[in-house]
Amino acid sequence: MTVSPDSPVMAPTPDDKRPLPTNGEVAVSLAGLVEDAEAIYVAPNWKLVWWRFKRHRLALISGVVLIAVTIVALFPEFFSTQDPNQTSATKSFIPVQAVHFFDEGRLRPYVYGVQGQRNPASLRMEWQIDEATRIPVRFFAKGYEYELLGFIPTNIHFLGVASPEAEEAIHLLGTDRLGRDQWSRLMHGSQVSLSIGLVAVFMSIFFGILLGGISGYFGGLADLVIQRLIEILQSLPPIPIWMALTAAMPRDWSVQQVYFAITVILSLIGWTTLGREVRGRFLALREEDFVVAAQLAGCSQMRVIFRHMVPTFTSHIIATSTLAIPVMIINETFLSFLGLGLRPPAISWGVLLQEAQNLQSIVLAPWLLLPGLAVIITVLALNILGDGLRDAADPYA
Amino acid sequence: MSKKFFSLLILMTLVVSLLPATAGAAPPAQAGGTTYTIQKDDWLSKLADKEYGDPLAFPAIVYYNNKKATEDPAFTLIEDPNLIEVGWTVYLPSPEEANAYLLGSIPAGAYNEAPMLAEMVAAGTLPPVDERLPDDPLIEPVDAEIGQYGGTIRRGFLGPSDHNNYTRVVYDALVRFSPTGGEVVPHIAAGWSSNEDFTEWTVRLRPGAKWSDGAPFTADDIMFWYNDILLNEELIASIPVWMQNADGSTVKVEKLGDYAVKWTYAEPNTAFLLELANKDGADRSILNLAFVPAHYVKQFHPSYVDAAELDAKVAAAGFDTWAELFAVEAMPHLSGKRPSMAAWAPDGTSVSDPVFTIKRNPYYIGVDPAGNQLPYVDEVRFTFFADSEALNLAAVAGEIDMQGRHIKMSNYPVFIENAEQGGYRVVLWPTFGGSDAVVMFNQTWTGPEVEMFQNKDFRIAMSYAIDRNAIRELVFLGLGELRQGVPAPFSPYYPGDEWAFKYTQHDPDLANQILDGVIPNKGADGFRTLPDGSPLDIEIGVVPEQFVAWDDVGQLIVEDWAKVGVKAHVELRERTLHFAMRPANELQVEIWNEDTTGFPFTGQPKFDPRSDPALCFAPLVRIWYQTNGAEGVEPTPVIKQIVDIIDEAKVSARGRQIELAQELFRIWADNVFEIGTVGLTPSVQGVVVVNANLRNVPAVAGNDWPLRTPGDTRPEQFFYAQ
Repeated sequence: MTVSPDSPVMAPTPDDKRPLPTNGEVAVSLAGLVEDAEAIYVAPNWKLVWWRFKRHRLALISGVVLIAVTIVALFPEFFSTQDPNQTSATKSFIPVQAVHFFDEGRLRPYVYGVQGQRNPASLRMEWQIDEATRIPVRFFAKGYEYELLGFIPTNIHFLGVASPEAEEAIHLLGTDRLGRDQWSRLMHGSQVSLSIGLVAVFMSIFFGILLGGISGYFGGLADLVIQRLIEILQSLPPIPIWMALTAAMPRDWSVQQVYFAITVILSLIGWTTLGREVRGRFLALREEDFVVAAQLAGCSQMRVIFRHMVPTFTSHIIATSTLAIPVMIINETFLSFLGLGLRPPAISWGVLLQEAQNLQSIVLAPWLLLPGLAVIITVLALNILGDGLRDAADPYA
Repeated sequence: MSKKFFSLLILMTLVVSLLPATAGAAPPAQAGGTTYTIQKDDWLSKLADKEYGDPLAFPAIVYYNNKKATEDPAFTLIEDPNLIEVGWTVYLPSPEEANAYLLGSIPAGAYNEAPMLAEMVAAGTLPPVDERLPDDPLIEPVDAEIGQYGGTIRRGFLGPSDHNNYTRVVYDALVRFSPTGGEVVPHIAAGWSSNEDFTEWTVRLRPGAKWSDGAPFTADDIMFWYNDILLNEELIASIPVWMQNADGSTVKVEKLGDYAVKWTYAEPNTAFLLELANKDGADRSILNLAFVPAHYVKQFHPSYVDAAELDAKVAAAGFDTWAELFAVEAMPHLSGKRPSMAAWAPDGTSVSDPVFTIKRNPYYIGVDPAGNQLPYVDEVRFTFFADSEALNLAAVAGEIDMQGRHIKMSNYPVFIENAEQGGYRVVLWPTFGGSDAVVMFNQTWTGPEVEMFQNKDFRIAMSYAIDRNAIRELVFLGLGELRQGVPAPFSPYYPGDEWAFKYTQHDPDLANQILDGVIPNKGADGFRTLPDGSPLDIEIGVVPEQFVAWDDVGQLIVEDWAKVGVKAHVELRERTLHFAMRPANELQVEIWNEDTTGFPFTGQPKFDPRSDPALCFAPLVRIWYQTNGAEGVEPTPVIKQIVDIIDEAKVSARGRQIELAQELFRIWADNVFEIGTVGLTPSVQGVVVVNANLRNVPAVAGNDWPLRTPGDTRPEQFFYAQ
C-alpha cells in the first residue's frame, strides 16, 4: 500500500497554492469539527446530552417555564398575594385586575380599585373599575404571615399591595364565589398538582426499575410472574380502574390521606410501561461483555445492576419519566374534576377546575377557568421537554 | 320583593284555617240571610264553616254580600276575600242560598273538554265529558284567568331516583294542601267530617269519579289499600305511625258505603288531614299510599290471583318476590300502566325511561270555575339529564317550561340575564321552613367532643361566632333573613322575633368571652383544647351538590369558628353514605336545612329526636324510644320536654296546638341544638323557571316538601296563552 510521490492523490503540501476543493466556510467548520470531535471524545455523557438538548430550542424554553413553575410550586405562599382560603363576603366574583406598571412615566406599579354592588334585578355582583383609586403594588411586599418551606416564618411576598393594613387587595386573577383570591389559589394548587405528578412518577420509577430489573435480570419464574402482572394491569382500561379505586377510598379519609392514596393509585398503573422498558434493557445488557466482565471480576449483583447496568439507561428513564409527569398531572386533574380525587378544602388545579364547572362560573366568571390554562402550559412544557430529553438521551444516535 | 311577599302570605294565612269541619255544625236552615258585623279573629272561611259547615263555602258569602252591597250601601263590598276588617257589615246568605250558589255555579251538562278528547268522543272511542266527570266535580279555582287547552310542559329529571319530580307535579292525593300551604282542601275526596273529639274521621268520595282507564273510583279502592296492602305483612313490615294508635294497635278503617270511608282512632287525632294530604305515593313508597286502583293491582296480589300465575308474572318482570313486583305496579310512575286519578297519567313510559311522559287523563275529576275539564295542558314530559348542571343549561336555553326542582339558586343571575332570550320568566317561591342552612350538633355523639356539644353555652358561643351576613351574601345572593330554625313570621307557630333572632348577631368577642368560661385551655396551635387536654377538632359532615352550597356554608363557618379558637373542618361525603351515617350515630355535626317547622307534628320533624330520616340531633335517643328504653341513651329533660310537647299536640285541638308549637320553638331556639343561619330564601326548589307563555303560575306560593310544590299550586290549571 505504498503511495508513489507523483501519485495524483498526493496530499497537498503547505506551500501548495491550489485552492481547496470546497469553499472556505466548510473549511472553517471542518476545523471546528475537529476541535468538537476532540471535545466530544473526552466529554462525559451528561455534557453530550446537554449539547444535544441545547439544540432543541423549544425544549429549552419549556425547561425555563418548568423551572419557573417548580419555583412557584416550592414557594406558593411567597407568590400568593393573599391567604388562599380567606373568604370575603363583599368580594365575590371580582374580575381579573390588570397591573399597570408605569404611573406617569415612572415605574410605580398599581392597580385600579374596584367597586361592586349587587344588581337588584339579577342579584349578580357587578364590579366597576374605579379609576380614581389607585392601589400601589410593590414587589417583596409585606402580607399575611406564613412559613416558607414549612419552617421559615416570614410575611414577605413576591407581589403585594403597599399597605395591606388599609384593607386593600389585588386580585390578579379575580376572585371566586366566596371572594377568595384566585391567583393565590392557583399558586397553591400548583404545589399540590405538581407534587402529585412528581411523587407519583417517582413511585412509578421505583416500582418500574425494581420489578422491571428483577424481571429482566433474573428472568425465569420471576420474569414470568411480573410480565403477566404487567399484562393484566395494562389490559385493564385505566380510567374505570382509577375511578373504581378512588371511589373505593374511604370517604372519611382526611385530605392528606386522599392525597397520598391518589398518588399511589396513579403510580400503581403508571409503573408498568417503565417496568417493561427496564426489563428489555436488562435483557439486552446482561449478555454484554462489560456486564459479564463485571460478574467475572466478582462484583456483587447489586453492584452489577446499579454501578454497571443502570447508568447506561439512566437518560432513558429520565426522558420517559418526564413524559409521564404530565400524564399524572392530567390524571389528578381529571379525577379531581370528576369529584373523585382531591376534594375541597384541598386546593389543586383539578379542584379549582371542578369548582368552576358550573353555569354560574362559565357564564358570569370565566376567569375561574384560568387554572385550565396553567394545566395546558405545564403539560405542554413537560411534553416538549420530555421530547427534547428523549432526543438528547442518546447523544451517539 | 320580600316585604310584599310576606304581607301577601300573612294575609293569605289569616283567612285560611286548618280547623277541620265538624259534621252537624250547621245551624238550622233559615229562609233568608242574616246581617253580620265582622268581629276580631273572623275570616270568611271561618264564618262559612260556622254557618254552612264548610269553610270552602266562603265564595257564596262574597257573592251574595257583594250583590247585596250594590243595592244597599250598609253592606261593605268585599273586594278581596282574603282581606276583611273588623266592623264591616256583611250579608251572610242562608244555607239554602249558599248551597244553591255552590251547586249552581256550573250548570249541569255544560262541561267543556279538550279538543283532543272531543274528537275521541265524536269518534265514539270515549264517553262524553258529562259521563266521565263525577256527579260533583272538583271545581278548581284558577290563579288568574280561565285557560285554553293544549301544549306540553317540558321538565327535566335526573333519572329513576328522581321519582318525586313526578310526585310533586301530579300531587295525587285524597286531599291536598292549598297553594299557600295554609289549609287542607278537598281533592279526590269530596270532603270530610270528624266527630267532636277527633277520633273518627269520615272521608266522602265523589260518586261517579273514575280512574284514568274509566273504572269507577269507590270506597273499595281505599279498602283494598287497607286490607291488602297496609295489613299485609309481606308488603308492610311495620305499620306507619299515622295508622297506629298509641298502644301500637292499627287504626280501624271501614267502608260506610260506596262513597264514604271511616277511620277510627283510639285517641284524638288532629293531624289526620295533614297526613292524608301526603298519602300520594311519595318517595315511591307503598307506605305513602292510602288508595290504589283495586281492579288493576289485584292481578299482582296473591289474595286474588293463582300462585303459579303470579310467580310467572314475578319471574317475567325479573323480580324475586311478588312484593317487589307489587311495589312497582302500585305506582303509576314506576309501572307506567297503572291507572291514576291525577290530571295526567303515564303513557306507558316510567321514570326508568329517558323520556317519561304523562298524558291528559280523560277522566280527571276537576273542572275550572267555567266548567272546562282540567287539565288545560295536554301532557307533561320529563326528559332525563345526567346531571343538574346540564338541566340548568337546558333551562337557560328555554328548554324547560316549568320547574323549580334542580334549578340552582346560585344560577339565578344567569337565568335573569338570559330570560328574554330563553323565553321564560323566573318566579321566586321562598321556603318558609325556617333556615336554609343549619348546623346540627349531635347530642348523643360518643366521642369526647360531646361534652361541648351538650353544653348550651358552647353552642350559644358557636352561634355568636358565625358571620351570617357573609353566608347570606356569598351563598344566598344576599336574599333571606338571618335567623334560627323556627317557623316563618307569617306562620301561626311563629314564636316571636325575640326567639327567631336569638343568638344570631355576629359577636366574636362575646363568643370568645363565653368560650373562655367553657373551654379556656388552648394548645400550641392556638386552638382550644378539651378539658382533658386532648385537641378539639369538630368534623362538620356535609353533602355537596345539594340544593344549597352547604359545603361553602361549612367552609365559612369553619373560618368563623377558627377566629374564636375552635378548630373544625368540613368533611364532604356522598349523599347515600351521609344518610347511612346519620342514624348510625356516626356524624358529629352536620349542615342541612331546617324545613319542617311549618309542620311540627306530622311527618318527620327534624327537632323530634324520634324522626327518621332527620338530622343527627340525637340518634341514640331515637333508639331509646324505639326500644322503649332498653337500648340507646335516655333523653335529657329538655329533649324529653320537646317530645312531650309533640305528643300532646298530636291529640290537641287547634288552639292548643298553636300554643304548644310556639312553646316548642321557644325551647328549640333557646337551646340552639341546631344553629340556624339564613332562612326564608328560595334556595330549595324556589327559583322557578316558567315559560313566558305559561299562565296561572302563582307569583306567591307556599314552597315545601309536604305541600308537594308545585303540586299545591294546581298545575292542572296552568295553561299556554295562544
